[in-house]
Amino acid sequence: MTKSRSPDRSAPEPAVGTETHAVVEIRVQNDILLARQASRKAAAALGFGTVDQTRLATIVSELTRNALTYAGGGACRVLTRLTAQERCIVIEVEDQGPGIADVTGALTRGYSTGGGLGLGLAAVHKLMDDMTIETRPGRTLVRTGMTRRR
Amino acid sequence: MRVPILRLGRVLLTSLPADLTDQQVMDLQIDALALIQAGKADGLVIDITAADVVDSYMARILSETAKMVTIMGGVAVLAGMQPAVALTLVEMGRGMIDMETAFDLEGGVAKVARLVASRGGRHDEVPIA
Amino acid sequence: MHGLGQILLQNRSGVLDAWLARLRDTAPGAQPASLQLLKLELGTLVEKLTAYFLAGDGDGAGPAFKSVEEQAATISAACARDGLTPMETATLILSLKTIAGELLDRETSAKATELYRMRTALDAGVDRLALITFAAFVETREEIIKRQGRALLDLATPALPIWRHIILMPLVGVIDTQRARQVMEWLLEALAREEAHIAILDVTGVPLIDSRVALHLTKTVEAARLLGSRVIVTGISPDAAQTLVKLDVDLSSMITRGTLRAGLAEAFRLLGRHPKDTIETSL
Repeated sequence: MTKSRSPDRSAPEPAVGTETHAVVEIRVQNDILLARQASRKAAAALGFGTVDQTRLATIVSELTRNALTYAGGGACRVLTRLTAQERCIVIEVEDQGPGIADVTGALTRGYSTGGGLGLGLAAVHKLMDDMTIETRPGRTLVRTGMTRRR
Repeated sequence: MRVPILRLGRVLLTSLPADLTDQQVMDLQIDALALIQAGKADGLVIDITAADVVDSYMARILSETAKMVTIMGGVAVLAGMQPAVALTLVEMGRGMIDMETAFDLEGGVAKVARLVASRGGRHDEVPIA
Repeated sequence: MHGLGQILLQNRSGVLDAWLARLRDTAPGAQPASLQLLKLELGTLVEKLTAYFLAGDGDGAGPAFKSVEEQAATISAACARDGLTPMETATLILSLKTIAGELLDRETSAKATELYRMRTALDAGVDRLALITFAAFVETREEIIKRQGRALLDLATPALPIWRHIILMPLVGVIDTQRARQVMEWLLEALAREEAHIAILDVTGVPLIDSRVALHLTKTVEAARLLGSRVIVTGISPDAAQTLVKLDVDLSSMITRGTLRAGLAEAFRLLGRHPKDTIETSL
């Protein structure tokens, strides 16, 4: 069983101005997989490279897993935008859970030892270009984006 | 459906599917540890060629599995990581994967044998004086 | 500004000749062939500027001025490519003020206030063109630099399979975050493709090795380890070694050697100690 580990450079470039919108409901473990696949597919269609696709699928895994573990479920939205100068993808994961009590603490802990919520958020912060977290009891929204120049 | 574990000599081999579930992980750990405890194997090679994503949770599971095997007196090696996954993991943080690694299954088996030999042989036998 | 436009229209060739004379003075180093092309472009600018003044009230707005601006940008890009300095290009554009101004003084019989209004409109227009010229110049140069940078990057870092299971990657130049990412990606691709067990990363050609570069190296070593490979870093200069130790950088994860030769010897040692076993002999 030999699986090629070389990156795929053969995908064609899509048209400028494309905007897509995918939503995956997160209710069970398998939905994490579906969300990962949806984000990878959207990224590939937009012309992101293999490594960037993997980064995206990984942060989607982190965020949707958090939503499932700490909030019992949520929704993952994949938004894309293509201009003449750049390609951009934004991931939003929203849940109706108890909220994150100490965001800064979670991120700091995540960077050192820790596990779970903190580690996942810290990973997202390191892999993506920007990240915002809105959280209160009853609603948490994590929005994070990646932009690459064409 | 349990993830199958193959035995090649004294080394256990298992290939993780891309859609691995939490239940499958726990079953895998128990099955592998039981075989090592029964004296049937000295080590475990976990092949993750099929994994196109390894998040912090999976990284922890793998490292913990390796630790469990070590506690039971065995040796664990992770094999077949995809380059894009490796790049992502090092960006996420240091020491995400706390275990031995090899390029592929064959290399993994060789490494288990080497590590076992360097510590003196089987973990449940007295060395010949 | 119809009056101004009329004067420019009637004296078109005179203005152009005077401007070209300025060009020769301003850019004595420019090639004759380029000057020919530039003459045409400058002529077009005068035409468009004339049309603009004829059409409106010289307030710098409207599609007519847009056309002039675009022409100025074209001229600027051409100057940049022909090797004119920003100063020379801006001086060239601004000299139009003097030439047209002198023309106005000679040719018009308008009253002082009307003359003042025409001079103001002319100056404002040419000033704006000079600014646009500058911006376009910088943009063109940056595009050239970027393109050269990419070409250099492509040349600089190949991964060479120098022996069975050993690849050599010589690094040359400044290693910033972008470059470090690229190097890591290429190295891992090469390791996977060649099924190499050892990568020798030679940094002889990297002029500055500080704690940030060391961090990039550490990450690269770890990424290679995840693929089952060892990395040997060679070519660290005595200066760099001093710097790294003084900064108390953690290099415990990597094997380092002063020279490529020593690194190669270590690679063979590692391979000899751990030959690629067949499954039968290892069990």
